[in-house]
Amino acid sequence: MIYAGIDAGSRTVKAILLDGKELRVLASGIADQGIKQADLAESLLKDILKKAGINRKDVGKIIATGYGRNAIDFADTTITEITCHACGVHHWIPQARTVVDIGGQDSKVLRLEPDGGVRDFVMNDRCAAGTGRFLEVVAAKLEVSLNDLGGMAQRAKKASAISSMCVVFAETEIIGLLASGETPENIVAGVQMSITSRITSMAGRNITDPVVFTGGVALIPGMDKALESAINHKIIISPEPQMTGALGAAILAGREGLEHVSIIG
Amino acid sequence: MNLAPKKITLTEWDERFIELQSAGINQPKYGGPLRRYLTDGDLRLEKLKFDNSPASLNLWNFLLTEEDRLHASRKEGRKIIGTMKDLGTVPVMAYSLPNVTAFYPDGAWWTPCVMEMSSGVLAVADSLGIDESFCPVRAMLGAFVTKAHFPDPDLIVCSVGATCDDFSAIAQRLNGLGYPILWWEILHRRKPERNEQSVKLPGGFECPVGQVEFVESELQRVKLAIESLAGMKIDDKRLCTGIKTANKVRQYLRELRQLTFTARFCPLPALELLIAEMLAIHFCSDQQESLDVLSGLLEEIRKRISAGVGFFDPDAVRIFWVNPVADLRVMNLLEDCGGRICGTDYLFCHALDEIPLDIHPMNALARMALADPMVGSTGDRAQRICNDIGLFGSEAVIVSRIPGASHCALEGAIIADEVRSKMRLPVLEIEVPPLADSILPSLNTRLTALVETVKERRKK
Amino acid sequence: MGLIVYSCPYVPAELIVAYGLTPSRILPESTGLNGPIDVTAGVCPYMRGFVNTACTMSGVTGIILTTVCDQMRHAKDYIEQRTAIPSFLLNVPSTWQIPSVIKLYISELKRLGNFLETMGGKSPATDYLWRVMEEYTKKREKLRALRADLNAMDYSMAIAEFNRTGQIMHALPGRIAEENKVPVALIGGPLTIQDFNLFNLIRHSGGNVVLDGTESGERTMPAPFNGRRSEKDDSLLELASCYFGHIPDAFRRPNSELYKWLKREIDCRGIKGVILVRHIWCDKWHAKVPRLREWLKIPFLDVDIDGESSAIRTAGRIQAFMETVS
Repeated sequence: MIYAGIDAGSRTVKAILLDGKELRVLASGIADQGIKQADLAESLLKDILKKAGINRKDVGKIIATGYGRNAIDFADTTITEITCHACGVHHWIPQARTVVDIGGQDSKVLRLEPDGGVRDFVMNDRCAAGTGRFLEVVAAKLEVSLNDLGGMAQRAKKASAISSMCVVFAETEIIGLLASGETPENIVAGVQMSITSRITSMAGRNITDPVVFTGGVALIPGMDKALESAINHKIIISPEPQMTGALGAAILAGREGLEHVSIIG
Repeated sequence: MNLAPKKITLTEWDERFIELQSAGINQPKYGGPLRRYLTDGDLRLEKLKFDNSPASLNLWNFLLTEEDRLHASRKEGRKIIGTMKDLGTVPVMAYSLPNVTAFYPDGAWWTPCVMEMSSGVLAVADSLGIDESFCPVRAMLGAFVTKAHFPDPDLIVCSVGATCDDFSAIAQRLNGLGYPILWWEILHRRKPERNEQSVKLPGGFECPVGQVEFVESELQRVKLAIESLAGMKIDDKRLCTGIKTANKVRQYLRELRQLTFTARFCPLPALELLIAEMLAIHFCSDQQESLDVLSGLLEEIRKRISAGVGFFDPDAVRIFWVNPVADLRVMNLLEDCGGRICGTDYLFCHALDEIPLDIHPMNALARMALADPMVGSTGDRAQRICNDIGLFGSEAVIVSRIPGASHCALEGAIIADEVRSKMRLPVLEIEVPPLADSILPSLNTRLTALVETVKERRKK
Repeated sequence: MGLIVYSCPYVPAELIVAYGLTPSRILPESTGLNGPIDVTAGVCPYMRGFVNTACTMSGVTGIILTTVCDQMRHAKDYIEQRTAIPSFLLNVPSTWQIPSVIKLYISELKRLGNFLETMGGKSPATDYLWRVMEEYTKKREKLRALRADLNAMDYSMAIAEFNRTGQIMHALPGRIAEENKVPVALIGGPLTIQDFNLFNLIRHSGGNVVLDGTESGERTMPAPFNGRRSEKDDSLLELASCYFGHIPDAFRRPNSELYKWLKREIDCRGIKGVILVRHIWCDKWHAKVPRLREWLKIPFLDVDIDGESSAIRTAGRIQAFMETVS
């Protein structure tokens, strides 16, 4: 049986089709988020079904997760992104014990049980200071692309001191720093440090190795090193870090589907 | 008439109230339909879900008519005392006298939520320089200034010392505006050292005898001030009678909690239980009526339990909740996400313990004051939470931070660490502002994730 | 000698010295997360900086915290739960008008003595504490005299150094003429080392701090001790009178003494403006802002610092304020 997971995040929608028996990803896709979330997700699902040559009626169950999960009305059920990220990361890296997920508008730290279940979690979704949104603001202000940030941070001589209280104020501070002659490289390093210090503060002492880094921000060069240095633990970047939520949703859809089958049987 | 327990909206209450009236159910003198409060500006009621029992209707009516009672007290010439930062000690003294009404100005922190900011009390606090970086209890400052919620008290009493900085700073601001305050010192409770005589406190704590003596001497100062205001003595006999009545309230509440937390089907929703628990500290400005309201609730709960009816599936996740929320809607949300309350520490659990009757009454009150979770170490507080978790079988803990509250910023991590290591339970920290509408989806995700986590753990 | 560190001005250094230990009222250097306090949201950066500095510096035998601030009180829980460093919480009453609180403070000093004994200290002979107090009074006299010879920042640094080491700095910088500068008061909570840059910012903007009323400055110096006049004199009572009975602070209830002190100092030093520096999440100083605005008859500036912001914002505010005062 084939199962689908849809992660309706704040910045992008991700979808995965999974072979429930072999736990093999058959197709996946990603699209920018918009106002009509359900339509976007539906269209994305159609695209990946077409790509994989699969008929919609062959999909046993669909689980939606993420910030906009409740808007995905064609999904059979919803599960939070916390549970789904844990499941997705456990699938790729079964020994993972801590997951740091930094997305476009939120960030979270999960502690996992040895079987991949969630032991505990902390989450920040009220302040953009510890999220990818901060990097977007900075990149726009410095007129560089997100992919340039890693290299710039590496060239920094000293990380600038940036207030991590508020992205809006930080933007003003960046203007002030530029006016005072601070280099863009130092500013980027300062912003990276600011984001990772938010994560450190949020995680507190609850970090157990191995630590896996997931979410869209894990794709930005240099963020893994900044995080590694802030939390003082080695970081493993999850394979396809943007897709772990959708993958977890698809795996959980498979599990629920199998439970359903066994009850009927 | 359908008597099955159900959570209903304000509109559904309109119909239900007519049914109750037709059935001839007796209403107390402050009774009536809940909708009248909405008309008066309590806009939040339209977004809440309520228990449908007549006993809960009485509870809500009792709560929402407190302002009327205070104004009536003023008209009757009774002396009014505002007991601030006092979680259940001075009101016991005050209610020992027949011509005194004590109330809890700090309770105004719910006003912005209940009135959905329409009261303007927070705006007044802002204008006085007490902005949102302070605890929402700053609403009290606005309530004093606007005089729209309670009359100016004849005496304001405020504990200070091992309390919270926010409140102390806000009370000092009030003082600076010309409101005289009788400050009394509460010590940081500590364990006795060698060569110090130990005293057992309610809640299983202990402290040196010197601390009890000091706090007793401070309470004597307060007692003298109340006596001077009331024109009569609080003699031991009166005080003992007052303590016995307070103990009766506490006994009802302990039973209410025990039954609610341990019944297979939850007999009372979290929202009504939160409001009922608050009666332990302030009696909603009428101690005797508190007893009647609570006994009515207890009777209803006992009936529901014996009939095997209640709320939620038996597999609802059993949550221990730490710290009260400013936005009442969040209590509904927890239940919508699949949880039920099985244990609470709303920062005044000492006010649910029995005040000792076998010692001198002032000494007993001093011991109660020192048993307050806020005046001791966070480790003590965490230990009491762990004990209650064991007692009620909670499966997860939510530590609800009060935005701006100086103690919450630090206590949460210590409590979470202790609960994790001693009880091996998942802990979720959240922050609830006075009006949480904009973050309800985010809170929903967190609470749902916690419920999912517990349900996964059950499978193992 | 065992090193005992603290930050609160109500802890008498004399008592620690008399027990044969080394007192150090430290200035935290950073407000980072390296230490037992790893939370930031809602947490006073000074408290976090102090605790994390005290717990990570070498040679610390014990830490003294006090109840003057809610967050410092809870910091004890962190040190206890997360480190093996012995700590002591001194209960400093918030009220001050009645004799019982002075007695309480004295009983707390006795209890502090017990703690110092467990740290390797020895209960002092009857008149030894008096001698130490006498020495400290002389040193503080010298320290106070430096105000005439030093620039504002150097004088404040000298006070901080004295609090840290019990010594008066040997190499003192020369005074730079301040004739055209506007005399202002800097008041508020404690400073970190980095916060001393405020003095420079004020100076560069045309001001001169003639009163350091921060917790790190002269406001929190105890009154000079009376010498022992008879066998019956109680050294702890004298300590209590000169520390607890003398130092005005924002945490006192009521806090009328703070305003009396400030009025006296403003009048006698010809102060033209007041700058309040406070750490974010410090409720007690924060709540003073509106009251001071109402009460002061001279210009007032509120500067909030979070321990990590760049100085640019603060510099802008100070410059604008000094333009107003000038």
